[in-house]
Amino acid sequence: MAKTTEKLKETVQKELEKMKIHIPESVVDKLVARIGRKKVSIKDLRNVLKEVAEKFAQHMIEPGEAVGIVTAQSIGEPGTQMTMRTFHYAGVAEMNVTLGLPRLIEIVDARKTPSTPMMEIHLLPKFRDDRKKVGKIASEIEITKIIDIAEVETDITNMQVIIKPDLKKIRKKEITMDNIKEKLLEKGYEIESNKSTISIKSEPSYRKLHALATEIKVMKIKGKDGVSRALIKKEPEGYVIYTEGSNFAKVLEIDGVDQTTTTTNNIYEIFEVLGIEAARNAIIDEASKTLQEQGLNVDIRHIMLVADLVTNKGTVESIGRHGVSGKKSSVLARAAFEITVNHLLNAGVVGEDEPLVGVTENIIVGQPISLGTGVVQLVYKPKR
Amino acid sequence: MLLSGCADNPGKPGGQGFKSPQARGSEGFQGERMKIDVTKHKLVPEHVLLSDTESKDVLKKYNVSRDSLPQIPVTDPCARMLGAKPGQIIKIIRRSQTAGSFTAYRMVVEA
Amino acid sequence: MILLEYTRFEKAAIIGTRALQIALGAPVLIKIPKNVIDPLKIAMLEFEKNIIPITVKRGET
Repeated sequence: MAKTTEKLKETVQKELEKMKIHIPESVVDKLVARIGRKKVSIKDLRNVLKEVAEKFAQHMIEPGEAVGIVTAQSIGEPGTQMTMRTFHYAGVAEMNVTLGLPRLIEIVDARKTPSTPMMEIHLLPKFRDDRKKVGKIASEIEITKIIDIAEVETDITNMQVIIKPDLKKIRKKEITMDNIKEKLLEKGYEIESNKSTISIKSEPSYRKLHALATEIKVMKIKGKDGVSRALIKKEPEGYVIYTEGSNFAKVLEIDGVDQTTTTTNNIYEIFEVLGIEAARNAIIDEASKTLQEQGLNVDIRHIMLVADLVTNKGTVESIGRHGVSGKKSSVLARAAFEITVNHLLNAGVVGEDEPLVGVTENIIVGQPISLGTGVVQLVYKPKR
Repeated sequence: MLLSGCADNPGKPGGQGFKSPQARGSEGFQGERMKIDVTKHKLVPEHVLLSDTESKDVLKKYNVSRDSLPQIPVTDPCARMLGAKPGQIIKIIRRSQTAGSFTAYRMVVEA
Repeated sequence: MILLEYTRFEKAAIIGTRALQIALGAPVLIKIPKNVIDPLKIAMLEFEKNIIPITVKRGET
């Protein structure tokens, strides 16, 4: 069965190429499914394809259509319903996630870090069913500070900070005394240790001693920067690690992490690690997820248009003063958006050109805009 | 030094996909070797570097100038994988929910 | 891909312009039914017969 459809698809594609018409793959797939096992002659197939192509062309967006406006309305209207709803949501395993309008604003503003960064870490098949191995990976990801596993005391008589590791906690996190000592030495502390405690000499000043103690408390021993919590959850495919905080680049390098499916909700990190096209996909995924979660059905093409717009220049730009609106080439368009006087003054001083090609400029000047009927240039057609 | 760009061997059809960066060794891009293979991630669509003749065909087909294409910085991990240079065009075959597969083009620009 | 047919915007622009011409007294190019006096209607009838001496120039902007 699968083989016949494959073959059919191939012949359809070949025919399309021969006929020099273009039909998107999804339409071809649907057509192939419809035809199924019915016997169709090549001639009939050609006719069908011609018909399909014609129908498809009728349903395409016409040049001149104001798609941006339609997108703005289609996202904006459901957006008004979002404001009323909750801002935070205790969702996946007691984790607090920003959802709804605040999240959508974050995506559109292209923030470097979202207010609740999160990762979904999938593991390789070898690891994902073994709870112990998964726990080990999780402990490598979750940040562990000295204060989490030991008591830190200040010894005023000897002017030193004493670290008393909690053996139970240490074992749970798979850290040894030597690990702690190593880390301390790496940072350049002078340490003295016996079996259960480590002491660090301080300069003879109370203030310095205090500062040292606080410094020691928050020192990282294990884990990835930025990841404050890692939760293990059983999913149908095996154990999956969810984290609060995100460090995409570092986590991907960990042995046992599936580099193909692990994701983060930090779009900027995705852009840096995987590139602009991945960022585009991430924006589409995150935005449509946010809208869907609120029970709003916005057609994905609108979101794709937004994603295309903000990734057009090869970096993730925000929509607003610092991004796409602020970088418009036209002075009048920028002046119409925000801080009017400064833009006009600057343009006057520099002597900027205004070619009047955009929509805003032409409205200001009182000309037909380059959309819809406005783009059409009529010419006289002499009688034949 | 860079051997991957197919602008160097324009006779080759179909450009050079980055399906096997290992096969080309560490010369595919300058600097340190990337520890992760970004091309395999599910969020990353297939990138193909176009040769000069192919780029010209694309520009002619869509009747656009080079500057009006969307851009991709040279520093982009995927562009580095291909060893692309500014001015070249990368063809991107996206998986699309609405169209099945969709071809887009980006011009490589200085970061 | 080159569109062979007019988009709906082009159609509107052509018919609109032609209707203006007719309203301003341009000679009508077809035989019109007796009761039709609306220049827009006349322009539409002309458009359907494809005899309006106006076409579009594409790809400038």
